[in-house]
Amino acid sequence: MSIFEGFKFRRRSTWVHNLDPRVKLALSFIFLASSVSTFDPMELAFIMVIQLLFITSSKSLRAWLRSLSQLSLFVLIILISQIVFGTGVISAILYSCRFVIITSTVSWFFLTTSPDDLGRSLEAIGIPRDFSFAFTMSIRFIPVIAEEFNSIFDAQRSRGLELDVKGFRRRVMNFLPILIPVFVETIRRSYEIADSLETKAYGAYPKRTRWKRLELKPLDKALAILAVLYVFVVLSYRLGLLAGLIRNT
Amino acid sequence: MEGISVSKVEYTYPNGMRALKGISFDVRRSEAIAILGPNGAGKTTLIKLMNGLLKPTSGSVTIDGVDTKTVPVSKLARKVGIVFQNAEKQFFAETVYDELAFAPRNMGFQQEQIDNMVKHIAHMFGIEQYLQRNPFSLSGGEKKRLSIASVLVWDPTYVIIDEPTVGLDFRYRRLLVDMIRRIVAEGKTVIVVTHDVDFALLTSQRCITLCDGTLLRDGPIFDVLSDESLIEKASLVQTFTLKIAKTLLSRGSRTDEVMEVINVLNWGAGNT
Amino acid sequence: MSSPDNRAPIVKVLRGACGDLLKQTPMERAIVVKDLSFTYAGEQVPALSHVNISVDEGEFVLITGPSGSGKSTLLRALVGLIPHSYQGTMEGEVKIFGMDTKEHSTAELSTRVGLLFQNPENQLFSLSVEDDVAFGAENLCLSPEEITSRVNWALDITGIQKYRHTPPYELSGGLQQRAAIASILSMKPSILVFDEPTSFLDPRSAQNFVMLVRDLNTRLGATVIVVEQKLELFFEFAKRAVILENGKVVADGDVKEVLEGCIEKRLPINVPIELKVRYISRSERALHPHMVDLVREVSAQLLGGH
Repeated sequence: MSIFEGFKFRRRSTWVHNLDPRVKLALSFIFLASSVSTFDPMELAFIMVIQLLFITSSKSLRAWLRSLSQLSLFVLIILISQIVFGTGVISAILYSCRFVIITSTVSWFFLTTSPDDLGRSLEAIGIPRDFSFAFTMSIRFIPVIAEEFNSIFDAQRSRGLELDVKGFRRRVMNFLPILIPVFVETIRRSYEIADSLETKAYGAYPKRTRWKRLELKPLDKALAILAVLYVFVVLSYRLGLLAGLIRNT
Repeated sequence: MEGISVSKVEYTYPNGMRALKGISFDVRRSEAIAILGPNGAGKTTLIKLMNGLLKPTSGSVTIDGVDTKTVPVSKLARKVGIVFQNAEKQFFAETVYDELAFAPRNMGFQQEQIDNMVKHIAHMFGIEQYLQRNPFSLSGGEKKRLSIASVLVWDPTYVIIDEPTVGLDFRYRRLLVDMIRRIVAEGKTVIVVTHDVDFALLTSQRCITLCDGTLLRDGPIFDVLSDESLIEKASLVQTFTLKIAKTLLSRGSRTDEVMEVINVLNWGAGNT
Repeated sequence: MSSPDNRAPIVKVLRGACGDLLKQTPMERAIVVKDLSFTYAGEQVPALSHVNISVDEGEFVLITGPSGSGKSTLLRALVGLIPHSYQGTMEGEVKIFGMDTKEHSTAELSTRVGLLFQNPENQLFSLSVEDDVAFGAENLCLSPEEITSRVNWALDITGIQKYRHTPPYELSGGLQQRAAIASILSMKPSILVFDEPTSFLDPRSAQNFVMLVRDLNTRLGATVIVVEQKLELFFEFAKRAVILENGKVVADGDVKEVLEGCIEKRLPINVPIELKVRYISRSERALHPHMVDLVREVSAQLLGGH
């Protein structure tokens, strides 16, 4: 399960963590888009360096390396499959590099953005507040449900349930005594949550106050400008290359 | 070699937390033991070690001579039945009958045997009229009874119950005490993990206190609960019953007299 | 002792709530339940049957009864969940400070009466305590400044300031309980209702909790209603007890009298041992007379020490 370690939020106070989540979202998206749309090794190297900058600045190097070592299997699969499909060793390597860049971008984003901030940035891009609230609430209850799953698992095993059985169908059936109680309990929980929401006046007014607003700080604005510059530089580099290619043919 | 033997057991969770730091004690047949201690003391970890759900990081647990490391949980469960906290949340079957039959079916009993076992336990717990009903339609108290019945149904020799009195109302508390006394008299061993001091006094002769992964004291319940510093460390609250009991003992009353007083106070005096 | 300063914010805030959602009726009694009956949809037997209870502001009332006696149903009726969220037939009326619960939504009632459910885990939905505390206030459309001040106030009263950024999952049961209370306090209701609040707490946390509730009643002047099975925790602080059985009120009055009445009437109630001791000679199991006297003497001594 340590694959997920490189994507799990940890509360720190680095400049990356403190960035406005909308800016981070935009940056990640830009890096993703630019890495996916190129095979130029110089560009890819450049993008990777920037990702490493974010990763080290947010003190997430170890977490990232750990999940990378788990993902190395995938990298190998990509490398081999590309070679097998005959696109050549060089492009196989480049595909793998792209994969690493993409996962790194996603990694530092999730490592430095709390689910709360995530919810707020979702609202900022236009998703209704109810949905982002449902989103953060789901995240909040994930560990609770996981724990419940474990305790029901223990309880049923203590009643003689064996999960190491032969036969696909039997294996699935044997999971029902674990899945059903968890399911039922989750539904019951949601009724209790609904009651609690009611008594806290949820839905009394169409628009609730936003106690915490996202505000762009100077660093956010600076990075936003840098992001625009980056896009500009990338485009002109590619067009420049393109122009060069056209000139030469 | 009968009995449960916990020998120098240590347990550390994968995340590094040392839950048990070297516990040793023995349990014989026909014993009633209360395990007391604050939250986080390692009580739940200890319970799980007793039926093999967890294997000790060092040391050993043997059930009737069998080391828990050598046998799967499903086999150990035949002898050691554990009723976990919130066991009412483990229901999944369509009928109370199926819920009760679940464990015996898993353990390979014959259909006829299972039928007898289910009917017998349902009668003992006063839920036979519910056998064809859906477990989810039962009331809170009935669910609690069903959850304990679901473990006693296969007649395990050692019964461990985690926090049996949480949410249990007055009538069923008495039912539970009576039932525990009865099965201990029949030769079973019952281990109760609880914060309910009165319940411990009513059901158990022996008391083991855990704190911070270590065993603080193991002895006759009156001795252990008379230890003031222990009560403090184990984060227990002295109930009025306990205070009366201790004062009586300190004035020379015999243990059996004091037990009688405790029984009367809890149930004899006035209400049924 | 409730100081006027502590009372004033409750009134001020009612006015500060947006819109004229509430009409102030200070002359009304806090809670008036008149001939209330309720049967859940699909059930034959009524959960509550002709219940009559009135509670004045500042009272501390203990409600108990065997499981299935209608306690939770009564609590739901006090906050408007019945009839607005639960299907069924309701007869009679419930008025909170004069507001008829049939005519006012649960949201409107939430600024007068707050309900703490049994399991604190399911009352905290955010990823930090302070967000949960702010939640209700946000729903009431209060200004961010007002919300900040209420959040600080609620965290102070419940003593959990230092946990304000902690996610609820990482809190112990007792602290979760406090966070849930704080999240209700931020709406500044003057009536607080607790449904078996110590179910999920260990004995120490339960004691601390009782202290908190007592403070809310004596220092803040909150009207407190507690439904409990563990009566020994509360019977020293509550002045009044109401016993429900099979949906009906079978006793309502001074705590000690009512509980002793339970002993006489042999009701299946967890009467605290401190009170039962008096009836020790009246037991079915014969205790030797000298033991009876000894126990009486010992308990008198122990109780006298209070």
